[in-house]
Amino acid sequence: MPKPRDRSELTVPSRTEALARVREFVRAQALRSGFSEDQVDQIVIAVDEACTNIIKHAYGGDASRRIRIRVEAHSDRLEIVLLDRGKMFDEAAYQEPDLAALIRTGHRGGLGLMLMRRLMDAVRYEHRNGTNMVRLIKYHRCTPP
Amino acid sequence: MSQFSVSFRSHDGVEIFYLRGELDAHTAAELEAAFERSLQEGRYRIVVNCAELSYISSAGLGVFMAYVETVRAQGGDIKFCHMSPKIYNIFDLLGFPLVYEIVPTEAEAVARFARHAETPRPE
Repeated sequence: MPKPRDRSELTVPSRTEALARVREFVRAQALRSGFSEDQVDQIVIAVDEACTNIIKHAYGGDASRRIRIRVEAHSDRLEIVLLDRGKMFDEAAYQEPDLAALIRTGHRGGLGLMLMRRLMDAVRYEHRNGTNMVRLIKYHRCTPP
Repeated sequence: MSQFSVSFRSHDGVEIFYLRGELDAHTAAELEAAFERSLQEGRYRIVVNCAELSYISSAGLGVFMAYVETVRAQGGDIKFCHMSPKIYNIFDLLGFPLVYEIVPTEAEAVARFARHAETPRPE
């Protein structure tokens, strides 16, 4: 696989206070890669959702843990990789929630992954050697010939 | 760092929440506190003015999901107004416009409560 032409990384504590800093960092990288304001907004929300899931689910609110966010700019796409060493995500058991059912049952969660999938071109999850890796991918739109 | 605040105004028996700033998993607690306060005071008709809301993630949307059944059970509702296209897009992606009334202006949102109240109940 060709190396990204640009790569930057941020490590933050697993606390919701860090979300604003993560958004700021990802926004700057995505803008630098040449995405439109609308696309940048979409990327930023998707990364926020992925980070929130790590804070709440993978680390279960343990603020002493850390999250690594790596942004890789390729010629045709931006990839944001989030790494944590918390609880594994059971992707096979995940079902896209039904909003009306969530409301009826008083649940408020379950929408983060749904939003990530709708905002990005691809969302990939891997668990290797105790590390969770979420990869969010957004392609630059092809310009017509 | 992220800044978020909620301010309030009551008009014609309707509680209006003015959201300002970025609503995420960190700041959602402040919105939750606003709903708790309204419910404790018996105010179930709520208009959420999003004119100054610059960002929302699903944690913020989750707060509206958590309270809508409670306020509706008391004859109230949560209605939204002055939503920017950017914020509306997130509501729309998750199907929120099917569950919540989103209208252009605050006056219209308040008026919808009044109209609803005037509708005679079937015998």
